[in-house]
Amino acid sequence: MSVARYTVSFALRQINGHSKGASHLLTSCRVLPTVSIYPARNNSFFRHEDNDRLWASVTGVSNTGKKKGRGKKQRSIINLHRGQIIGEGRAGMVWPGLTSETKRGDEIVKRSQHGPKQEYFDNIIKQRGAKQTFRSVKLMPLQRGWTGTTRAGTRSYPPDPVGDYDFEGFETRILQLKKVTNTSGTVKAVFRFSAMVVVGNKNGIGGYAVAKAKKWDAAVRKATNQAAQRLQYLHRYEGHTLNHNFFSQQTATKVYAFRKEEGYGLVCHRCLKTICDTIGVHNMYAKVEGSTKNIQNLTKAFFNGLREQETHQELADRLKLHVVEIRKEHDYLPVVVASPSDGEVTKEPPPKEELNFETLYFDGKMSLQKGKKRPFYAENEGHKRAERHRRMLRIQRKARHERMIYELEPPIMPKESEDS
Amino acid sequence: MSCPNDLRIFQRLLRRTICLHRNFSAGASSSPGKSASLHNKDPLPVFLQERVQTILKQMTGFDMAKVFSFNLTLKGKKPTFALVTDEQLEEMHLKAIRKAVYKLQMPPVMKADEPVEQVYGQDPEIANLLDFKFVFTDISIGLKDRDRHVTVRDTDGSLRPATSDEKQRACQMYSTNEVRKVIMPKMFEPDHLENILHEKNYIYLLERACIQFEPDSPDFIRVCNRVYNHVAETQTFNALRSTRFFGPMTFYFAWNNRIESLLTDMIQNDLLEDAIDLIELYQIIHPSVNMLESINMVTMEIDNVEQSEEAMKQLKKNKLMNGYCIKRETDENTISEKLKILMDFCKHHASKEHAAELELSIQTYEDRLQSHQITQQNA
Repeated sequence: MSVARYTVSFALRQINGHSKGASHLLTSCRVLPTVSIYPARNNSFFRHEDNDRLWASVTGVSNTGKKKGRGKKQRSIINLHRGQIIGEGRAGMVWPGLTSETKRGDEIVKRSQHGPKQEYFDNIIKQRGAKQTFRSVKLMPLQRGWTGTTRAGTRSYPPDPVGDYDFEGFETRILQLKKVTNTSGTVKAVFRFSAMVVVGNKNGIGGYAVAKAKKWDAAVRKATNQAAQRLQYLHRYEGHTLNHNFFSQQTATKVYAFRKEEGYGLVCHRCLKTICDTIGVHNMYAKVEGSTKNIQNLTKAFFNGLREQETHQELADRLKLHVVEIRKEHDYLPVVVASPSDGEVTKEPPPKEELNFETLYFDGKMSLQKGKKRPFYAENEGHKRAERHRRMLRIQRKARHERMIYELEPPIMPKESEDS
Repeated sequence: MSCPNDLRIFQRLLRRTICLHRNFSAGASSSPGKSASLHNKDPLPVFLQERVQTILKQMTGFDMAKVFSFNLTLKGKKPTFALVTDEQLEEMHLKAIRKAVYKLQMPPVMKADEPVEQVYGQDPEIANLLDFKFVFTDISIGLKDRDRHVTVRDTDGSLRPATSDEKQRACQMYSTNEVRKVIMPKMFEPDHLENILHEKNYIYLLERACIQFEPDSPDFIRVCNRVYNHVAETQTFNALRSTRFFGPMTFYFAWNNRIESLLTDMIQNDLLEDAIDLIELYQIIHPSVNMLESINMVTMEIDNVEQSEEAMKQLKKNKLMNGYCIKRETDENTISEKLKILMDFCKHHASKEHAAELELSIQTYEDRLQSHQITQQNA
């Protein structure tokens, strides 16, 4: 207001300045000078209010307004910063080091002015109208879980250190992360996150736990630390597979686990695969029957089965028999792995069927083994003919390769061009 | 064979071949083998001598884990477990021993097969009609490939017995060995052989050679000798112990007057009995060396076997082992005499290059023995 006042007073002073010598003019000529008042507000509402309040004034509705149902078609806030580049502006300056290079060849770039770029301002206006889309962060394949964007199967941080022990080499995998609700009469529905986590050192030690918290990461951390308190030693055969086949059941979830040779891999439920990875079982086949979706029961059943495995020595002591290992790669040389520790061996062993090592721990049960389904075209005449033809040619590729090694095959000449 | 001219030629070819087989089989047995020097002598009769065989078997060793060594090609098989009583276990062990003896059968040491420049007949009049060779193979059942007669009609009209290479290829057609290649694998060529020897995978090389070649093939002898030489150069005799190649290797060194490095190795490994046996083998091959009396004195031993049950079991096992033995304990009473024999050999028969090394090993053995005795006395 003071600026505006100044402008008016300046105009009056001008009149007063001339008043001494020209007062006669006022009276005599009766000509009045025109006084024009220009309001100049150099400080305003837009200057001293922040971004959020300004936008609230445009888009927001008061509480009373809300109650009356105003502001249903709300204008969305526009981000005016989009498309702006530091250093660019109406002056259109060239700032070496900011908007341009410092050197162009041998020549040093100097500060200069090129005038405003219309394209730059057009782009800003254009971006204000464009819709903003959400971009998901792309994860590396090893960081992803079993499926989609769900957390199950992903890796997490190792357990927090306890005293001096900092759980080096331990790995955490999330098995299940879900939202659970507790609804009561007084307090409405209370949402929490429940996390099931398996922790292991990839060398025969592992544990699992379930924990709940209001936020998912807190639930995972809680479960991880709890699992680290419940670690157990799990026996493995030569550090790569199960000691023997076993059957284990938790309510309706039944697990048949089979030991396998080196190089077989893990052929089982994705949950069991994750557990095996953390424990250090590299070769196994497992069949899950009954409920396959109950992760908690599945984990419990598998851990129980692993823990209750019998060592060869225990088996020898129980049955009073020698345990002999026979390997094909050693041409079936019998190697005694364990003998009864007290030296007493029975002379009347149980019938041979009961001593089959493969089914010794299945308790008479056997998992359902489905045969391989034949394709619908297997009996077609054309398919059979093609198979016969393939059988006829099956050795030719190998034979040709061998001939090439012994330089009996004429070398493949490069194709001559059409011109020559 | 539609043309009558062709048919006549074929009949003629066939008649000739049948006649030949009779002649050939009659003449084969009466061909005398001449032996001028040891270099050209046939080692097979000496190798098959009973005493030589027993010595070689005793020296081989009988480490079951080594005999049934890991087969790389079968890697990745699931082990099976059996639950057995004492009796069944004993049976399994005996079966394994029988198998091991079978696996330790030594490949024969033979003289290289020389190409026969024999021509049964020359028919230049049919030479113009032949674009390729005819190979006639006797495919009668029950014959071994070595005994089969294979005859070749060359394009110049001559009829001759097949060379060993041709014979092998012809037999391969009728009795196929899947592992044996028609053409010798590159690995047996001298340049490639050297590369493989660097890896010291001797057993693989020798087993592969046994499949590929006949024992009298010059290539087989060349490959084996190169491997044995490499073993001696690198002093890795342990690699061949308890395998079927230790016997032939020892025989090769004894035959070629080069037993010093093997002797040194035996003394260093505390195998004094083997060392004495090696000298005896050397003496059998080279009768001019005269240390026989002293050796006879040492090896004369009387076995007093107790007639207990365990001893009977052991006896049964030994019988099954057919002359192979696990490890022979050195008899303490005759150590000095044995060392004397070894010193004697070192002075008179060892080559100058290796004599010093051999003498050193004998002396260190003596020193070790003395220090051992002193400590025993003190205790």
